[in-house]
Amino acid sequence: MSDAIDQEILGLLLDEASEAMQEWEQSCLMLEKDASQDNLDALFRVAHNVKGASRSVGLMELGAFVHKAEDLITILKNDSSLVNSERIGVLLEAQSLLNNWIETLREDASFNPDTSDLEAKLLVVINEINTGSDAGQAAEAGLQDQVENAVAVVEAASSEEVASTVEELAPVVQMDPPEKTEEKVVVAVPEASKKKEPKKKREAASKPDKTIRVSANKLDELMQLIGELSIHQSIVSHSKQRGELNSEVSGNAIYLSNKITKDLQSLTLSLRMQPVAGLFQRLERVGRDVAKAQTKDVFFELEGTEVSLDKTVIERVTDPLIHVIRNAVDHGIEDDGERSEKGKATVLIGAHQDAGGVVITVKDDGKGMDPQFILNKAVSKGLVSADADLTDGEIYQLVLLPGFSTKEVVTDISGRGVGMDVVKQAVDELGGTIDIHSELGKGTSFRITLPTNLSIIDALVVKVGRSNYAVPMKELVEIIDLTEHTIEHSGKDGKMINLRDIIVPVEHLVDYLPAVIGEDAFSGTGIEKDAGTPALVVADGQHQLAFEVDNILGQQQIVVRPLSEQLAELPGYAGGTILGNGEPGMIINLSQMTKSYLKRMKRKGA
Amino acid sequence: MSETSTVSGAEARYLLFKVGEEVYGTPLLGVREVVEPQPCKKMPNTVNYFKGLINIRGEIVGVIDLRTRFNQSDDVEGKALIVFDTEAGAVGALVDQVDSVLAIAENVIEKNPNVGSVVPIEYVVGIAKLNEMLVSLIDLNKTLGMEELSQLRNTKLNAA
Repeated sequence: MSDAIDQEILGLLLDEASEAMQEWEQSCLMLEKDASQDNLDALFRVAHNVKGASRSVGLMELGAFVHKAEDLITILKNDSSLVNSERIGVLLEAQSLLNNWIETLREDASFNPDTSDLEAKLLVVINEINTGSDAGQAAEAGLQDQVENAVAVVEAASSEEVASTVEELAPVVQMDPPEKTEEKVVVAVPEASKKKEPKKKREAASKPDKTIRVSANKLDELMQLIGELSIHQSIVSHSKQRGELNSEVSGNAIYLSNKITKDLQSLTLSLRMQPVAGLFQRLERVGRDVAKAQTKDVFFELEGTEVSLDKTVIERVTDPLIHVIRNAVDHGIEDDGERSEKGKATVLIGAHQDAGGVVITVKDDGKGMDPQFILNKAVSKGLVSADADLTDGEIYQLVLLPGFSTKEVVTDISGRGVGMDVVKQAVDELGGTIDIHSELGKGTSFRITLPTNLSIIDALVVKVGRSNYAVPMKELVEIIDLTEHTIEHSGKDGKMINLRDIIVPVEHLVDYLPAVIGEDAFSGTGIEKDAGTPALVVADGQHQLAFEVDNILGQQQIVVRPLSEQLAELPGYAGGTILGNGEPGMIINLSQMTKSYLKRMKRKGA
Repeated sequence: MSETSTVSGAEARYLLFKVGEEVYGTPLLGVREVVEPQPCKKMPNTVNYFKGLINIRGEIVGVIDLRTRFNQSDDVEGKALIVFDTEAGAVGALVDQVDSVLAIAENVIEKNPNVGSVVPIEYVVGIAKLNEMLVSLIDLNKTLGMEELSQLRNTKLNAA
């Protein structure tokens, strides 16, 4: 039982610590731009809080490491003129390690990474500062740290490991005035050896719940709406008891509860929305690290950080965007030599809301892309035919194709020919689009349009066999009437149509979703066919495929409902929903069906 | 949670229900609610004991017919639908009749019974001996979460 409580507290702490790490990162990034006392104070506060909190739940090693970083922060805080890029760099490295540490603790509560490298770096930096000024006092402080460091590491190790740990420690120890340190280490070792038992592993029981920050105002609004709703609901039940359902009073109440329900729906959806500030900060950090690694001097400008996106969308778009940023800094911005006359480089990361959703822009003022160069490259790689007549816009889209990479020298940052196609795929899956604009010598901009949320989608309700299914509109290329096309037969049961000079195979959805024996009666009787045979055309890369359905019942905005695990794993379905008539329905995954068709054809061909 | 079946050490409460003529018990704490059976929306490509989907106050819940699962005839409509909270989400189970809630002492339960029953062995967590009556205790909460529901025979979706 106490384990469960521990888990809960640990979960809360880790959430707090993750947030603190974001603040840490933010403060460091700000400090690089402006070494103000405010930023230093903020950084110090964050470090201090994390230290205290982690010690309070028994994460001593975490606390000890933060304490070491805090030493450096304290020194900087006391004299902001000491802030420089290298020192902030070490603090950012510490942040990366801590962030990873905290995330891993969620899965494995006994995780302790090897911090010795970074601790040594911290010491070097601290010593360097100290030897500059009052050397004596500094050595003392450094020494103190060194000892604590050694004790902490030795304590963490189980007795078998002690010997090897001491060996590892040796070089660290030698970096400082020797005598005192060695003496203390010797004392520390037997103490640790007494600890026969390895540290009790905290069981990583059920994962802590995911949490989300919600403004108190929104919660109040929510409470108020629900209060109102229950009042109207009780008016209606009262009217029913008295047989006055048709009275004006209950009519009003029904009308108002409809309205409140709609408000509730949009408000509840907005609870999942989060500002992109956190995402942008991560992008800035990645960009900064890449720029530093390539010694490019890049200024990152953030715009529209208050724009909100669904939490899931943010999570799924993070990695693709990181890739875009890396590309912008690595490929977009010229090397220092080439760059000199243009001055400091700028990468803009911006967001704004427009009718189609949220647009995220990544814009650099680097060398831009040469359409002719891209076209030649695409032709040489066989991605496009040499006589293709393409606009510049279409040419830029070519870089999103699998197997395309423009940088001649492959770096460890980007340029292995993987990447941009993955970005495109991720954005496609979210139902978004990518626009690329570029001007030679002026820079390149990526505009990624994303839906603000995922849980409400436009869908077509179709009848197959005797059941109704929902099909996401965004999967469809077009809807055609098969009776208006000549159907050609190929092989035993293959049907094809000629759709504007493209041969498109026709499959009947009922072959994928056979009617079930004893199909429920309440989804309507038989098939009332309208004139014509509708078919849904979908595309998978180059291939198009038409799925014949029995009837199209209409278009509807559907709310995607979460399903239990076993249901979510059923093949052929993308999710569940409640259809307009209140009965549950499944959302068909047409792309999965298309893939299984293509697989079958390939096997037949082979 | 599975630890709930041994709450307070000595005895725990079980929901007793009937499938065919047989009485079964399941830990009460795994049960969310018992509702009137409602028509299920059938799903293609699923195993025969998966009845389909129902809408419980806006939540989509899959329903398993325990009579088919336990090899009983299901020509009579199920009279009760027990909704379980499993680790994988809510699951409904159709049974013939919900009987009662009973506290069963730990010491009358025989664990790991070796019985030739119509019930798949992985469901049975014990047999309780109660006044001449034997009740198979089944933990649907655990097992329902692991059922493989898909069955792709004879459809074109079965490409691989």
